Amino acid sequence: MVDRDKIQFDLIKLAGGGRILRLTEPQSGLALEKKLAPADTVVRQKESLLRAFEAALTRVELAAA
Amino acid sequence: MDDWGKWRLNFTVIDIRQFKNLRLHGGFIIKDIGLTDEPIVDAIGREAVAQTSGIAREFRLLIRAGLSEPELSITLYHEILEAASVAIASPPATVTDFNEADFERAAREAHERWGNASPANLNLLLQFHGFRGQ
Repeated sequence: MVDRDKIQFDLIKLAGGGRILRLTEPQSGLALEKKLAPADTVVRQKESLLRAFEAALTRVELAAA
Repeated sequence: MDDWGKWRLNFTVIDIRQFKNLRLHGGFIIKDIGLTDEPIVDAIGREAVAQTSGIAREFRLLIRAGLSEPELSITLYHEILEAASVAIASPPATVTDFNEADFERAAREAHERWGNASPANLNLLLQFHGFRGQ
């Protein structure tokens, strides 16, 4: 069972411009990232990515069970 | 006073060591911070100028060396405000609608308003944008 409090986020400012948000769950090694759309709100994009990430984590857990 | 004397009086170097293990408003902690001369490159070859990692409210910052002092200051303001907004489930309403340009504008305004990023000024930034508590 993954501990969702341990999900790591990385905010990466690219040299070529733009920003990446990456979520990683260290126990499973699962990572999901998104290049942030400059015009959209960061918090909303994070929530959307987090929902997708949690769904992926659930699939990983089910596959491992 | 000659120009050299003015430069010596006005030049303030940001010592990033002051941010290490720094507790901030909102219960955030900068666990580690570093400048690197090495390129920050990920597994697929993308180069970065700054990377902020966080688990819960603990942040680790890695920033490419060689930025000017104002650039470093603005980068610190930007990284901390955006990381704080991403780290928690319910950030203050003042930042929930911020896009990348809004975070950059807020960082530049903080630098103009309070000067170089410092522990006190990072707390001012977080307080100004509605982050509360230890």
